[in-house]
Amino acid sequence: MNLNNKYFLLAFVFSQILILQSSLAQDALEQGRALTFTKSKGNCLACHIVENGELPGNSGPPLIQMALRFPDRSILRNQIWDASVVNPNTVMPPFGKHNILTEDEIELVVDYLLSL
Amino acid sequence: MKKPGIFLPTIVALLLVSGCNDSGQVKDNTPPQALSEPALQTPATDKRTTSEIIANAKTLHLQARQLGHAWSTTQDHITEAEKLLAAKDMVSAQVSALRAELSASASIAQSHSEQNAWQDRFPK
Amino acid sequence: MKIFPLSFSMLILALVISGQVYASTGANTGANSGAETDTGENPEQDRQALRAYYENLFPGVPADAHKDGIYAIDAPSRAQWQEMEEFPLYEIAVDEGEELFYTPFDTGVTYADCFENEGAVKQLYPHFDEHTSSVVTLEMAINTCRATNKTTALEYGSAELNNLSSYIAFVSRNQKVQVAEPKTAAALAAYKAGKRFYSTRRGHLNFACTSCHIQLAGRKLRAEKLSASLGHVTHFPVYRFKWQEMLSLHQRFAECNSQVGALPFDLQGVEYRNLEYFLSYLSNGMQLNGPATRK
Repeated sequence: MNLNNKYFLLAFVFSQILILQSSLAQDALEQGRALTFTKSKGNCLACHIVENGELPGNSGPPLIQMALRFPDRSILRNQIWDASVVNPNTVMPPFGKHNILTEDEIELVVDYLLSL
Repeated sequence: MKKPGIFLPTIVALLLVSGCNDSGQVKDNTPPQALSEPALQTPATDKRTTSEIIANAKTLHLQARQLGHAWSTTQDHITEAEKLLAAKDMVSAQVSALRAELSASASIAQSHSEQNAWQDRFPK
Repeated sequence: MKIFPLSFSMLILALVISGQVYASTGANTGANSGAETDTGENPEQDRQALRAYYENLFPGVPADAHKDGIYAIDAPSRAQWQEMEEFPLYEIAVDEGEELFYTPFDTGVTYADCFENEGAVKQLYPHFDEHTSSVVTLEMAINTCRATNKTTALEYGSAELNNLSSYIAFVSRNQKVQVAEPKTAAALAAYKAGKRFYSTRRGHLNFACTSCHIQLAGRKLRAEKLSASLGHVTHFPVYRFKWQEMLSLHQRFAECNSQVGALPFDLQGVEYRNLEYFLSYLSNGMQLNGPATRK
């Protein structure tokens, strides 16, 4: 009985940790999604098609299959930080260099985009 | 006999807690408030007072203006920093002041990098 | 969570769109790889190059068709716009402008004495004035007329001034833009300043006018298609639906600057006047069709 109790407790604690972790991750993804969609922040929809985004522009490529296209996370992060490093003619705003998003916000957007 | 006595409350508690975790976090469309740290500097390592940072941001903003490259965002951050300082919200005021400074510096940098870059943008 | 048919169709869409991206990038680099004659400006060469650029970018749309702005290249909104034009919202401004135009100053003189041909003079502006070594716009000429008649200047962007210029635009319809080619060093410098302004990235969003109206012309930001530079000057002032009032060209410049996060410049200041001069030269030969209605 005692042993069983311990197992239950252990299982309970473990499952709570899992739930908490996944809900935190979910929360972060939700924050990233909000930053991606909000006009005064990422406003990615202005130029890019994003899943479930209404009235997207078509000035940039659609943001799909992102994990496949960016196996190296840092390349995506650098692209958002200052896309002109790779392509001087890009019209993409340099979200990091020009302080449009903070470092933390960029990380959240990257996480969200990689989930698409 | 005692087994179900522990088992049931555990399951119930588990469901309740997981229910609580999931509710109330999905629909919020506003960006998180706690993420407004400036991009390049850590507020704690800056030895200047917020007033000094604001003054420097204003000087840089004026320079950018004379170069024809001032940003409205710099102005917004300055206004915000002054408002927060007046309200004695010292941490947020410093963050806004640093962001104003950062924007002003970036706008001056933009005027330099555009010095020649503009020449390639018109059809020839 | 991933729905495969959806992501598959998105992938197809991506391929189609990126195909267009590469096609237009090709056009861009093609247009930019011409001969380097950068020390001396050649306005007429610029004008021809720009017309060729858009005719290549929008096959089947003649360069002069851009006098209708975005409606030259956006068929669905063109129909909407033509409906709006049946009961034009700028009519009140034109009527009020006409009344002002023929109302005498204390000197007994009216604007009709300053602007010949009953006000059909918009095609003469802007022009480069060698004496003052600066660009003279219609709005400035209106205030000059007032000054010579000992009347205080109108504020740039004010309803009264926009009404007057709306009336002048209206009676100047069907004239063609005919800015004299800049030849002197001072005129060429003003033209070049306008070109530089147009091509310079500004604001935290880091956009130049050329980013949207040359590089991305015809593409969409959110639901809005981006118009060509050609014809940007032909139809002002405009009745702006969004603001429910008449808007001058310089007010639109200021709005564009604000939209990219740049602090706007003074209406009728040297920056915007040079810009107007440059853009107007590029639209030479195009029909004046102001005032107009815009979303």
